[in-house]
Amino acid sequence: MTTLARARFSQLVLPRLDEGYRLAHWLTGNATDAEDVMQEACLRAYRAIEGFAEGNARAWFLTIVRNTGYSWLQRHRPRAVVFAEDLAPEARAELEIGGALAEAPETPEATLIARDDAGQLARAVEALPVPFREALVLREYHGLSYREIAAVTDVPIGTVMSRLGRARQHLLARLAKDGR
Amino acid sequence: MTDDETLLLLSAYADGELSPGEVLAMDRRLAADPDARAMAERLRDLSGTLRATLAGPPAPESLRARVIEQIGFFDPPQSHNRLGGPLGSRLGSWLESWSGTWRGSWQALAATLLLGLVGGAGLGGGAVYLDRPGGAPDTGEVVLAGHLRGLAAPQPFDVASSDRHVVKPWFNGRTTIAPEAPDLSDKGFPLVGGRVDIVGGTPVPTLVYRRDRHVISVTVIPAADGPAAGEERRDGSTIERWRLGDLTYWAVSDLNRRDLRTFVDLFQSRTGGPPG
Repeated sequence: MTTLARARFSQLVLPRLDEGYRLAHWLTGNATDAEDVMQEACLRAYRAIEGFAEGNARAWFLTIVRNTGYSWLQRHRPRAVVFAEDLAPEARAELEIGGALAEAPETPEATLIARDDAGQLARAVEALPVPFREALVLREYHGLSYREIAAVTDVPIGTVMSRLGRARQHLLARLAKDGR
Repeated sequence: MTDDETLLLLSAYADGELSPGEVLAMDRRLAADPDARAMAERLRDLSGTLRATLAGPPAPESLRARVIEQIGFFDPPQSHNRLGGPLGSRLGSWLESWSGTWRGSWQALAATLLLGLVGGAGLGGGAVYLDRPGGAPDTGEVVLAGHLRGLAAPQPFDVASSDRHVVKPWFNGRTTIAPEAPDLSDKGFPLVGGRVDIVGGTPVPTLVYRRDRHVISVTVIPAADGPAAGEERRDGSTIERWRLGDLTYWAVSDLNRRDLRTFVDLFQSRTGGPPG
């Protein structure tokens, strides 16, 4: 049993450590915590590996990393796990209606957007609420489809679409503001 | 001025997630509406920058080592109690009672086990060749195993070069096939190197390309009987194969199907047209 489980683990999980680590890093915000999350996630993946029959191993493993990251955040930084529903009404309105866009930049040509030399964009991503951040990372870094993101984050596809749209809108507005 | 809903649609449009009908409508809208065009462009720039921003150093080697240690990869088969507690000893006794039926289950398990062992060979050092009673494992499996072994190794290639005039000659003397290595970097698929995989006991060339952070392996083997072209999914990876002359090309990646399709079309057009 363990021989088989280990063989599957080395086939399904080990090649994906880097990907998982990046997600854990963006969820927790630093390298040390990301390692803790990954170590726990790998153990969970190993225990669950017999139950993984066929399908998308990548989405399966990223789901485990994501869920481990969430429980880690809840344990260590309860305030960080803010869901859109829990945001203060003003903050929520800004994120959802994108008041941001009302003051859209006059210079759409993205000298600011083209390169993130000053790390503005990275900081803006870090400041996004977790559900928006994870959708963005899963899409832009991991290249997952909306359907896969929906499966990993356990929300409808429409929610994925709106979270990505809002997150991008928010980032563009932040960059425009910083650039003034 | 683009409104909120337009932005959502543009964002999904950029991700290739709109339905064909919505795409047509958006194409028309973009042709007519400079504001929407400007917004589409900003979204595209943002995505490009985000990819660089979101990337970062890979998982530290120490993490990989700790994970392997934790799972107990290097345990000899007898000492399964390393996991500790009742779970460990239960697994141990399962294994003992189970090893008697090992032979019978062999066929069913061989596929998974072979992949796992070959995938793990990068860790333990040395490839493991398993002789399956039912004959050779199918080629797709072996090609995928080579790809996954590449991913588990520090580098997915043995020779690192983006110069096709370096990669192609490198295979000379290592394999009997020296494949064309088209340069596709202008289309976002840079060549990063090559490696030798073993398929059916014979060394064969594999070209390694990248798309952002995704690795694409193209393994080239002498064509055998069987379907000439096709696509399949295995364990979250997509495998596309096609035939050109007396060679079969196998492209493996965890890229989404659409991008891999684009890659394969490009590769074919630069190596002598679509499959015959």
